[in-house]
Amino acid sequence: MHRVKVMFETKERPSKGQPSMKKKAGDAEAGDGESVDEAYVSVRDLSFRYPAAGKAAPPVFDGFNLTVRQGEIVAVTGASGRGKTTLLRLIAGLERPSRGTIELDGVRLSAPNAVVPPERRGVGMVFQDYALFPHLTVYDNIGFGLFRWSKDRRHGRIREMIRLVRLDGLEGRYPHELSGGQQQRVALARTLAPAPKLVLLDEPFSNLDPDLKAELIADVRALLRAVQTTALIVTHDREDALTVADRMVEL
Amino acid sequence: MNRWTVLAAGATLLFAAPAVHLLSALWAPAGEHWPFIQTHWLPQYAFNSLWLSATSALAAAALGTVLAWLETAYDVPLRRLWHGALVLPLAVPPYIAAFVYNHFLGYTGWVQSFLREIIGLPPEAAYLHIPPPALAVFIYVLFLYPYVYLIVLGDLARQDAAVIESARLLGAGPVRTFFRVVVPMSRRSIVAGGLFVAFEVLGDYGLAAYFGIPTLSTGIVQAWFGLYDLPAAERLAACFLIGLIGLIMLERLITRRKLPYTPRPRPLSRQALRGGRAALALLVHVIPLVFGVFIPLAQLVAFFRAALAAGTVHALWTPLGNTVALSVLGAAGITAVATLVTAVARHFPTRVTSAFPEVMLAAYAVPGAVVAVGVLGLLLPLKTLFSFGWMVTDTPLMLLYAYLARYLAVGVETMRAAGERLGRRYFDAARLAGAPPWRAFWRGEAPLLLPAFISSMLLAWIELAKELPLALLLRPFDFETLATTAFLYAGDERLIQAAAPSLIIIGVGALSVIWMMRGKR
Repeated sequence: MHRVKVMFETKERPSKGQPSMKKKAGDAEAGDGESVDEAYVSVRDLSFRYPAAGKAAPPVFDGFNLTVRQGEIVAVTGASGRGKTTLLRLIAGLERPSRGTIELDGVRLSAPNAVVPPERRGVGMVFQDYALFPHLTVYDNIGFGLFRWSKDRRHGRIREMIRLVRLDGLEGRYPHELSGGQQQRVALARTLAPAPKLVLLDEPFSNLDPDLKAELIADVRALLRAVQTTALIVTHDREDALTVADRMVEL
Repeated sequence: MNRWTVLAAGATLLFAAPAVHLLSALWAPAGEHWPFIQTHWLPQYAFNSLWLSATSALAAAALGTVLAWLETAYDVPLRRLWHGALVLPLAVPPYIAAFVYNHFLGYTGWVQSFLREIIGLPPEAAYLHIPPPALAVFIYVLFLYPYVYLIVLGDLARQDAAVIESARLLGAGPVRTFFRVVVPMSRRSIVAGGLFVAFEVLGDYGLAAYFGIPTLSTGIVQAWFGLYDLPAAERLAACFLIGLIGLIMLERLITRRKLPYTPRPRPLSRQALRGGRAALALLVHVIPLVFGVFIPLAQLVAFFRAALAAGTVHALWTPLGNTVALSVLGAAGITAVATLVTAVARHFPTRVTSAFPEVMLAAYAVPGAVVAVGVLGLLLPLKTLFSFGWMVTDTPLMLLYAYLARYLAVGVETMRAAGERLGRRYFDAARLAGAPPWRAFWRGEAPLLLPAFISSMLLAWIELAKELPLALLLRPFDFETLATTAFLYAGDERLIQAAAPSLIIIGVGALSVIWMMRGKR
């Protein structure tokens, strides 16, 4: 519990309007001269098989490795069925690996005998269908993850996120009263609001019409850059991957 | 309007007639006891009915929702076993549970005997006296919560798991996720389940009568059997009916508006539970089963063995025969009428025809005591008006008619769901091939509806086999069913003789649970 608190408290949050470009204070490992090998996210020897699939089914992962540096935006591509979404779910803690470890910022999230539950990982995820809370307004959706914050701080943060994703004036709307693009921006704002250490995006551009898509890819990249976050984006489209990410990993 | 529509309209009118009669009784001269009932009974009885149903509905909603959520989100030890078992308490009608628990907790029951003889506590066990209303709520909750459990479970399965996973990734622990996301998202099904329980409690006659709690249902019966004042009983039933119509409209309003469609629901992957949490979850599952299945069964089996030893079981055969004959006839009638009205509503859809099944569905919420008084008020004049009137009023025909009026909903629900899956294509194709409506239905659709016919027959049969208030009020002289036998024996504290019919009723109820759960997992 204590560790969680530290996670949220020390994590840098951009100040109002103008995101800070500096490295966060208090992070001993992240010096100014960041080394290329420095692993912020480290997945080692990961193996996984869906429990329902039975022992005979081939594993989705068998000895998979991945490292991501801090602040890096990495796209994960690959044909369907290769386990792109499963990888995100494993990192988020929504599935348990059968073997291997997952570390984030020096903290071991997943090992064979110890698993940090999803709510204590400091990992945010934008789901493919956004998964907005249908019973909450835009304002309350964005503020959902800030329940440990003081009222004033929370309000300030929600306002800041609303401005960042350009949803001013729509705070009181419910998700079904928004367009697909707006819903996606709410989902992004909701995920980014608690300043997670790592943001996972599952096929964020798959349900959009082409005109909107180009605009949103630029949007998402700018947003992730603005908050200086580390992100893993799953997409089946290599072109999208190259546009949005710094690096591409093929499964 | 074709003749099928006319026939369906006739059937609807015929079976809605008791309710219409009751409402018209509001304008008829009230009985001589009405002023007394209005002053001394109505406020108290209405209050009792309301608070019993409200408390039971709230508690059952809480228990049912928690169990449904545990089932959906966690890998509770022995999960596969619980899924079916948690619905089993539905097999025990509250009026049977009432006398079982009354004895179980009473002076000669197992609990007090154990405390007295094994633990050595003083015999005047006033500390174990549970006030009847509290025991009534306990029994209603214990034996009716599965309705909430099933409705909420179905709703949770339709919800997008990603929404709940989002909550967890945003830092919400299990408790916060449950109260801030799961409950608000399922609130309509929780309310629907709670209202279902409330209707059952409002409609219950047997348990309230056994415990001597005056409610609207028992009051109606009392006005007829105690005061012999049918107009006053009708007036009381009509007041009850008006309140219920309000409640039904409220329920329709709540359950009609659904949350926006979730695009691709994926079941939640269940979390494993370990240590203390697993033990706690296990306990939450075991308690309803111990009190809702094991204790009643153990007690009844003990009674039954005593009955076998005493050789009193043979008294069962006549009521058993009556129950089988009436319930099978009733189930066939229900299925036939339900098929007619749902088919007419589907193939000749107008505002009027689609109202027929709705009227029949609403009738299910009307308590047995209300239907019984409506039927009595409607049919008793036949006896004085026509020489053949007795053929209706003094035979089981009156009871059969009441069964249909009250339980057509069971058939309508099954036949309508099956009809909706079928659509209109086979019927339309047959008609385009030159078949008249009857033939198009019989040759084109009926074979495909066969599983639904069987399902409707079975469900209706199960409901009728355990039905108490209608049988109690409308049965001819010296004509008993299993339910009336059990209830009357229990009322005379001849619990040993009540055991055999009770066990058969519970067995039939268990059959209904198995039928409901079939193919769900």
